[in-house]
Amino acid sequence: MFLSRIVLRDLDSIDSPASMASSKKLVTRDEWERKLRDVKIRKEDMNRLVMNFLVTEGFVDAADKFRIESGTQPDIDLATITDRMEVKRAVQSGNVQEAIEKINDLNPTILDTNPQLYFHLQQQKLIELIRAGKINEALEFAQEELAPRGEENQAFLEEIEKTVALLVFEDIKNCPYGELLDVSQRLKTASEVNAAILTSQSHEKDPKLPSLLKMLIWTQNQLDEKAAYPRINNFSTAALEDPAI
Amino acid sequence: MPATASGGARPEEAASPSVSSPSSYCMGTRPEELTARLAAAGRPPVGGCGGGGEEDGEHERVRTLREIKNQIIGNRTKKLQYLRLGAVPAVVAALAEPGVSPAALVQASAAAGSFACGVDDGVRAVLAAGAVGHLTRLLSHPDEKVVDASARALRMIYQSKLAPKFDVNNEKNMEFLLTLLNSENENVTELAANIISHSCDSNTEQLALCAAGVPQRLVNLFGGSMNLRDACLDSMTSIIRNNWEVTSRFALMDHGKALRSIVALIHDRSPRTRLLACLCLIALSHASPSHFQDRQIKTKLILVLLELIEEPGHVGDDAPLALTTLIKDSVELQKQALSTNAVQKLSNHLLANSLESRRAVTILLALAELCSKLEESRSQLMSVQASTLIIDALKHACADIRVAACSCLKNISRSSKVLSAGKLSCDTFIAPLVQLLYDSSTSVQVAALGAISNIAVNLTPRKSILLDSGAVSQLVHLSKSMDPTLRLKAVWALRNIMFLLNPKDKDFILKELTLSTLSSLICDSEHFVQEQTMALVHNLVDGYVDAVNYVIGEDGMILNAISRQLNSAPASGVCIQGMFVLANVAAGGESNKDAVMNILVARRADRIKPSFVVNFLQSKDKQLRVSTLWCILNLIYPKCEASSVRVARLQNAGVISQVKGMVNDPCLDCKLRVRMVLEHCLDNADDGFM
Amino acid sequence: MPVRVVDTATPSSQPSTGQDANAGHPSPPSCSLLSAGRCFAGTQNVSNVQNNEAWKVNVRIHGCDLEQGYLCGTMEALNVPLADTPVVTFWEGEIVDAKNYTFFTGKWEASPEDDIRHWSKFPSFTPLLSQIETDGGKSVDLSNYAHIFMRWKEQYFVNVGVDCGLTIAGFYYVCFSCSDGSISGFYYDPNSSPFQKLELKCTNEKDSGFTFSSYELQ
Repeated sequence: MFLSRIVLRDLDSIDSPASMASSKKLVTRDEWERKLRDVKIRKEDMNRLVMNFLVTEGFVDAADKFRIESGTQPDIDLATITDRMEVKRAVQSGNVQEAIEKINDLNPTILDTNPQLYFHLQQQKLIELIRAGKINEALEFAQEELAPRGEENQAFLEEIEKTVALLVFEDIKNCPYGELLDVSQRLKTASEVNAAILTSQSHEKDPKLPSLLKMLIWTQNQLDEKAAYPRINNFSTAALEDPAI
Repeated sequence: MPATASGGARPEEAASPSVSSPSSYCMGTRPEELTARLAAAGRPPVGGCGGGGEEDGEHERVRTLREIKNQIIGNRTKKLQYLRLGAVPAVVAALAEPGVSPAALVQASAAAGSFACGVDDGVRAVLAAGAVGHLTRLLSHPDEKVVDASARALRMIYQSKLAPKFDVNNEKNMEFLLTLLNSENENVTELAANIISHSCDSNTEQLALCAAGVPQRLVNLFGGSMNLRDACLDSMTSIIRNNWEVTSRFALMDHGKALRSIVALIHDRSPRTRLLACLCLIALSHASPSHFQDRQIKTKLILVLLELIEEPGHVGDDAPLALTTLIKDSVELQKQALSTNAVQKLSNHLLANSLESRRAVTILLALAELCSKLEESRSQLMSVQASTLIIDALKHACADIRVAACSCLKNISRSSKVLSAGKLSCDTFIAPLVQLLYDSSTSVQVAALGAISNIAVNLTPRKSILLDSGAVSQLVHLSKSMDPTLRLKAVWALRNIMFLLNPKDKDFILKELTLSTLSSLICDSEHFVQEQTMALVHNLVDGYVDAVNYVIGEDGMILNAISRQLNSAPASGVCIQGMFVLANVAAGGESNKDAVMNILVARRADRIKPSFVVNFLQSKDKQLRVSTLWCILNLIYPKCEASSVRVARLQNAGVISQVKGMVNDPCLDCKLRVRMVLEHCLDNADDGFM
Repeated sequence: MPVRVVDTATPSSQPSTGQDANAGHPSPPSCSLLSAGRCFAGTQNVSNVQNNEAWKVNVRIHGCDLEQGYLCGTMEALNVPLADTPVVTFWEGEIVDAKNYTFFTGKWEASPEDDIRHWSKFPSFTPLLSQIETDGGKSVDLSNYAHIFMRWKEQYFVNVGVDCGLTIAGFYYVCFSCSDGSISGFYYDPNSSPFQKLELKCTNEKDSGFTFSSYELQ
């Protein structure tokens, strides 16, 4: 260390950076379309994307028709889609026990290795009992089947408490957890089931098309900062719209 | 092959039509009834064969098995209930009976597999009933659905640690395994991969599998379904783990193509595959660093693993563990991880999510590893809000999280720079840490002691907060624990607190500790406890005259204990610290020097047994030589009559001639101390004292 | 003795104390006089043309990691003009070991010429000079050399604010003698008076011997 009064300091003035000129590149529609035409996308790849969507979402008839028309082979046996859709339908229509048995017949390891899914199915079963007004049965089921799951897992316990709260309210619509009775809850459980079955069949649980669409949106947003170009604003028509200048 | 691809039997095929709707049940479904009914079904039918009664009986058995299966899958409570009722032997018996229908076999296999999942008693029961043998036989059943079901059940069994190892050193077994691996049925090949993961851990097994071409086959199977690929990656990892030879062969296989195929999988779409590929490459790089010098791959591994932390479920939970394994002990890789913002990413994830999950534990452990060597990691972790989170984690209800938080603090404080700044030496950190010394879990106590030991080193101008925190009495208490690790760490912490402590506080600790505890710790059954205790004493007596009196006084209890240890020639670490104690004592007055002298050279010089000092000077351990030389130097310093008498005594005991022989000691520090000792000998002699 | 940092998950993994950690490659010798806890006392000569001034200085080593070529500690200046209390700074040091650090500073506004000019002020550096000039010191074997060369850079003030009238912009070239633990050094700051000499002696040498303290991190 040393006395600073002896230190000679010459402070350099700090140059302010030159202001950046905002000049976005303009791409005309002709130019854009010409460039798009230069990108070669194989028809087979497009077809496989469509097939992947139909299979994952479980549109078995459409998938079969598409197979015949386009000659695209699905990456999974179409018969398995039928099984999967039956399970999904069972959940959506509130037949949870039927769904559980069908899953176990499809592959008995799914629910054993996926405690969360098993719990959600049991929870859905309780919800259905409450919806049907079978209060005694519901209480018994909650006590005997769900309570032990809550002991195993703190998060499950909280879910159980919310569900059982439905029993306390006379006017279920006003219960803070009333949304559990919504159709959306069934759909949520059904899609969880759908994903688990797909995973057990070595199939990706999400179709590829939506993620491509997300990527398109992201890319356009990135590009917006640098260029003005014909944008796709309406994704159902995918029409190019002239750049606003 | 629709049945295979669909992953199992259809309900309408598997069970009789009458059970397709649950509401049509007319019989009871209570476990007691079902178990009784199953046991009855196993008995041979009374009367003739081939009658309709037998067919009905078979239908009923399928129905019963299916009902049991549906009750137990995913349901621990039910599994335990059936186990108590003794249902497992009856279920497994159905697998072995002659003439059982494929439908019954499918249901019985599924039930047996489920019993073996998640409940240890279930695994034991299934194994005891002989399920492995029956299920293995069913792998060659003509009905593909039966094969699927039995392969799945076996996979569940082999997932448990309790399952017996499959001995691949047996030629027949190896042949069978290869048949499974070459099967057309993916459920069966996946089973083969699971068996390898489960059974292969010894060097010879790994070599046998390698010689049989298993790695090549596994790589070929990467082209199969996602689940099969994952199973193959996992078994590949178990074949190469810690095995240099297999790893080298694998790295060169197909001109490196096999290796590249695994590298490619770290970018797979499936997160689980990415994680397994990373784990495999980490095992490869640890088994044979020379085949894995590509730094780019390791950088990629770090990036991939940091991304995987965002994944839900096991993948996200295990990714930080994999990262920890990867960067462990490597400054280089820790620097790389740091440059990819690992500390920020990990702590952001912790901040964004609650501390509830297993992931909190694995992330904290990864952060701890990142802070084990690099100052930059430490300061980053201390500067972000994560430090508040670590304090919360110290008070968390889950013991694993408390342990992990302690590891973080231990590694942050593993730095003289951090300790000099003293940021951890405040009540916010000390109070919860001291509280953990009273924890009911030993592993938490041990972890807390690790952090406290480091923070105990006070390099700030302030007084140590630890002294007023009540920690000392609990440390003293723990130093008398039955558990040697607790004793070690408690003594270690006290030793570090003693470092350059003022005499008043040294006195306070000594009163808590008592001389008798101290002397019994010097003679502890574990040498690493002895070593830390010796170090504690040498810190105690440095610059504290009264303490020296304690050590010499009280009938020389402490010095006697030290003398006993040094004469019995225990581990060199104990001797080094012991010699520093003697050196410090010998830096005192005449009475001190005489006390030390009497330990080094017995009064009635025993010519037959040379002094342990001579042995120490001949030690291969340079630190032991140095500490011994310092002790000798202090004994003959300063120049005076008494010193020259001691020189003579040391000479008679053969010590000085030993020192003379060390003028060219390979260790510079030793050589310089030897020179100092000899100069003092000469000085003392010159003046004619001798 | 030097501070050991060891990983000790279980007692069985305790490494033996005596491992010669850097047996394989040349690094400076471990010296029992340059280790955590050791204190040094002496003066820093701040004289310039007008007046002849020297501060009393105490130095304490806090940590030393030869493997990384790192050490740190505090420096206390006692009779600083205009200061009410002694001024304490925390410094970090680089040990010249040809592995982690060379004789060339490469930062802190010190050119290779500045480096050579300062190192050359130490008599013990003279035998090394020609080799440094040929290959920059890459092939110098310092593992058996009785002097340890270091750079000490003060990082912050421990007990006073930055407005205490002192600067820590510069750094010290330091030469440590392994045989008697004496230290000499030169403060370098292009904006301060040149070649301020630091001279310190090991203070652990009591009237009747040397004493030792040590800590060990886990």
